[in-house]
Amino acid sequence: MPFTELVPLLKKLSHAEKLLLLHFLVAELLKESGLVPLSDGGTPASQGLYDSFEAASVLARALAEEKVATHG
Amino acid sequence: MVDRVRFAFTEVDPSLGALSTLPYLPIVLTYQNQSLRVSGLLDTGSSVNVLPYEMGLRLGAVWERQRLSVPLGGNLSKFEARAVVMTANVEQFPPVELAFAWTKDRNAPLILGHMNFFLAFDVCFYRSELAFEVSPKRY
Repeated sequence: MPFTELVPLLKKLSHAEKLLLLHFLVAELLKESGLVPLSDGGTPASQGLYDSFEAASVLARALAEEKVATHG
Repeated sequence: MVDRVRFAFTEVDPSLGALSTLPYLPIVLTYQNQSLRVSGLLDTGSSVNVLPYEMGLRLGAVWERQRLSVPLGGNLSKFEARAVVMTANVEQFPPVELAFAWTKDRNAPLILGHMNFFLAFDVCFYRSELAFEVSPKRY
């Protein structure tokens, strides 16, 4: 569909629908660019278990504490 | 002693056959004096081991006594997780200590990930043969 035909349709959208469309377009652009969106805190949001490195460091600490408790 | 054991991939959906096979490893987890024979998904894409909530309870772990909070990403990020250390036996290999992110998610699978399953064991995948081999890490 040509962009010129799309504009009148977009104008008919409600305020909330326009916001959702904006969010969709930003997400699509980030995905196409291979960029990771920022979380609310301004840091890159975690994508999954594959990059849960902070969690891994907590488990390393738990293991170390367990060794001390077991072997002194 | 045998230094390497070969396992077959597990077919998850019989209607899809080999397309639905995953590397599940039979493992015995022990917490204090309670043991459970389970299957863990070998997941090289996971930074951590993950223990589902019910499994932890069946092993006698007490949620309130685990004081280290574990920040998980992805689908599990909306569930609280706490660190718990268990003894794991794979075949006849010497037992190892595995640290798990014990998630409150009741539907999570048992995941064996980098911290610290893949630090304790070497695994070689032969996906085309629907098999994998596990051996204890070499010192």
